[in-house]
Amino acid sequence: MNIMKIAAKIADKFSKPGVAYAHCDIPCGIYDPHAAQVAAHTVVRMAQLIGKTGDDAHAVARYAKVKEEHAELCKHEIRIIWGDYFKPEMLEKHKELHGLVWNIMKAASKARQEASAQAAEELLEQVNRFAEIFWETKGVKTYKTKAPYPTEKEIVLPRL
Amino acid sequence: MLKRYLVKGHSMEPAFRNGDKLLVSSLLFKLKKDDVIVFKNGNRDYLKRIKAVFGKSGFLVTGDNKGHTGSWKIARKQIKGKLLMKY
Repeated sequence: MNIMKIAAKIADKFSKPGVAYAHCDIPCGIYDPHAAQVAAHTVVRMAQLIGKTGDDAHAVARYAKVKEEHAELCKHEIRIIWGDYFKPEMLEKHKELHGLVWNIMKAASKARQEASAQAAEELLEQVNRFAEIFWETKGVKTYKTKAPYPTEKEIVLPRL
Repeated sequence: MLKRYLVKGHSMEPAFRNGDKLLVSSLLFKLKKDDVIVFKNGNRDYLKRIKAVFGKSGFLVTGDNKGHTGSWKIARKQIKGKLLMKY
């Protein structure tokens, strides 16, 4: 093995290498948790519809498909903001963030696995908390209101 | 001067994958089309490939993964080093 590679591997044991980002997107600075919130509401709505549908296998299949897609979309949107937007100084102030994102990933997976309204609502609650933190880092106040969707659940919105 | 980097992201696949480790030289170096570089943008360092050189100090850089990247125009002073090898 090349001596430089060996030296680099030894150096790694004493200090971490720097990070070179090879992001899929340009850092355009345009971030908003709203897409994740809408996706979470969709997951809730699909769980509600599955609960009401009974034995109509065709309808259940359609709702389950949309639930799957939006739970994954929710995870994707949260990961992008978490990975690309949040900076170390924000994490210092919001120490719950890593745990919250981890919980969102788990809650979204659970909402996919189950047709349970409770699992979907847990996802929504945590995504709303994520939105509160996001807007706080931008110095924007937020408020909770009943969303104008058939879910009849809360949504956190910025006072812009 | 050599610096070690850990790749995060997928825009340089298949040549460089998330989690790959790189040795980058910041010594005086010539830059040309298709060189892989690390450059600074804001508070972060990025890994991209030079697609075009404009005069002595302008570079168009992009990722290898066509479906997952955009192009940026950067200045020579933003460039922190040129890739030497993966390790």
